[in-house]
Amino acid sequence: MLEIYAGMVLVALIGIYCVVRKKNMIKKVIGLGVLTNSVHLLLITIGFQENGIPPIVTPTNIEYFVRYAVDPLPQALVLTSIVIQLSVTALALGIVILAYRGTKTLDMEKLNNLRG
Amino acid sequence: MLLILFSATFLVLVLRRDEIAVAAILFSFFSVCYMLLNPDIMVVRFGGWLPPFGIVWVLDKFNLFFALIVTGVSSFVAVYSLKYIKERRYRFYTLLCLQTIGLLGISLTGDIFNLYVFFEILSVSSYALVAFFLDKRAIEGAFKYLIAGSLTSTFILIGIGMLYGLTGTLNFADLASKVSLASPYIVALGLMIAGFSLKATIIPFHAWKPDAIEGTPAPVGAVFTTASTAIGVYGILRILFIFNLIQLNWVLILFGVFTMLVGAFMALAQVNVKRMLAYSGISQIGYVVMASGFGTLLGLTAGMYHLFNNAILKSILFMGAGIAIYVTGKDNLNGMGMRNTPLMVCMGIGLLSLSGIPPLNGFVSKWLIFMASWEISPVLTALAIIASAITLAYSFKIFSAIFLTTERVEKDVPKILLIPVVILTIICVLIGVFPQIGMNIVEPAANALLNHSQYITAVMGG
Amino acid sequence: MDIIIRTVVKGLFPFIVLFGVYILFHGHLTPGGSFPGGIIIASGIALLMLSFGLSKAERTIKEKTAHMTEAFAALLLVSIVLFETFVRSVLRPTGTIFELWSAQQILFLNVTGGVMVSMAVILILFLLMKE
Repeated sequence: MLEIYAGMVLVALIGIYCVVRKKNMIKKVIGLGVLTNSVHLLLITIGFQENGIPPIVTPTNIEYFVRYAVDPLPQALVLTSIVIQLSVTALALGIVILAYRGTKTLDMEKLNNLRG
Repeated sequence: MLLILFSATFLVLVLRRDEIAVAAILFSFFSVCYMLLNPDIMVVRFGGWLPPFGIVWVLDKFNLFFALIVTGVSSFVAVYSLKYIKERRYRFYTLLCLQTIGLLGISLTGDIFNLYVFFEILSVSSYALVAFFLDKRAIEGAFKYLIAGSLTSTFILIGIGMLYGLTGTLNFADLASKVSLASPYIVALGLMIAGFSLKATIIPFHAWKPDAIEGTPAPVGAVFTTASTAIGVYGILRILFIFNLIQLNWVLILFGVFTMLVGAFMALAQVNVKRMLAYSGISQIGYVVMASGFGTLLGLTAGMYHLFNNAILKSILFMGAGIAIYVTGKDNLNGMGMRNTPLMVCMGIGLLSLSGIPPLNGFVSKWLIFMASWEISPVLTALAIIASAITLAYSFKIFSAIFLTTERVEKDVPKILLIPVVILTIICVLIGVFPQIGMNIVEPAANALLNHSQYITAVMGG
Repeated sequence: MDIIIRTVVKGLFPFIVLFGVYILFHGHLTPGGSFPGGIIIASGIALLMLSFGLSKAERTIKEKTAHMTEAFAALLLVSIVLFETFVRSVLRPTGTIFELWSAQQILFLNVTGGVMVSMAVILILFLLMKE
């Protein structure tokens, strides 16, 4: 279990590196998606349980469902968060398209006109 | 009643007629005013589920204070935009209503993941509103804001995940009884404060704001500087409230002092009026954060009062500057000159109140902040007075650039653009002469924040 | 695009939509619900768009229809939430665990939400492709 947390931190760092350092705007948006996915991984891992079963009630497992099921609340949180990430990514790509139409380049450096 | 308030702002989203939006936002404003008259804490449980399991919306005085600021500013902006935004107006109102839903939801919720959901609704509609005018400056501001904002929203989500993993609950009242100050909690606390500080434009996180407000329409700039920053401060205070850390807090004071001074100094050097007003808003929030860091009742009351005054004054200033931009067509300080007596009086009163001149409401809140900081350390009072002096300096710069230049554009100002400004100026003078009106609104809010156990018993036991 | 992709997509498209509708309708029994169901339906349309070009995909669903359907579905969703007590008396109460009709209004919420999500994503794809 500890490996999953370490992996999550690693992926989050990769995502933050992409957002901050890459000059291409689409790569920044991809980095944002990677970062958000690592946070979702963290959220799901929190509800982990040893020898757990998926939290779906079927006719056969009603007796031991409550004791053995993996926690379903973070899964609901992650579902909501995926929807939010989808809308943010769609909006970001829309803004990137508008910027491309305006300046004909995807470089972030060219977009740095406002001073002060 | 809560659902009606909330869904009224949502219904307009799908119907695409402007006036419904204005009516819905005004309706929610009056509902909030009505609910302020009720002295108890109201708790709404969704779906009938009890607090540790279900989502709860709480309406105590602290929440309602922020809801009042938010809906007030949004309703004035909605009326103002009927004439200011000339094209694609239904899209503007859709986004404005979404933003109001987000702001209102954050200020009223009692569940921490619900807070994140509404925070994202607010953020996404803000990104779209910044890019509303599709010119180069707007796109640049929107992209910078989007990247920075999503990054810090992710920090808030990490903080929420850590808190859930450590305590097993998502409800504010339940969290308040289960958190301690052990080391993993501190990390979650730090992450969440960083996330909310971006919205509240506290100093290391303020870089998106001038670019974004320069590109966005003037009334939207008013909503950003007043309501969004207020919600950022609300988030920080709520998280500290959960950890029972509303006490003398040198981190907040330090950040507040830096924000105050840096905002004021950078406002002096600007050439664009919207950027200057954005930096001015940043420095006022610095005052609020510094006063909230004191932890005493006087400090908190001063901070809340200054937030309230900031909302009124910045709305006046942004809408007034918007009128100047509407008339002259340029927002560079060298090119705007116009002549209109009611606007000159209103903006003059607003700018004087911002610097803290006696019979106006800015003086009341600044005096409270000075008194509160004198108890902690006289150095802070000196720094606050210096920042006030710089505020006076750039206020005069704005005023002279708009009204006292020799070349003026003579054009008619539509009445509907002036009405919100005039109403707000009258409120400003009224609160200045009778400060008890403001204290009646603000003091229960500060009390509710300090009263930790009352909140918990109202939500869990009632 | 390629002839292999075109043939495969032409044959596979109804099944993708059917699968999406299945996930939609069983949202209260198995994982899924409004959001993934809507996304899967929209991804079927996205496949059509990628392989055949914008014009053929637009013959399946026109843009104006998508706007209207989405707005209507959103309105329906909000009204179900608002008038929850009235709607609840119409349907059968909860109880039997594994039936399709068991949960009170979750079924309608799922379907409405799924229609809204799929139309929204289709709209986004149309607008992004209108370069």
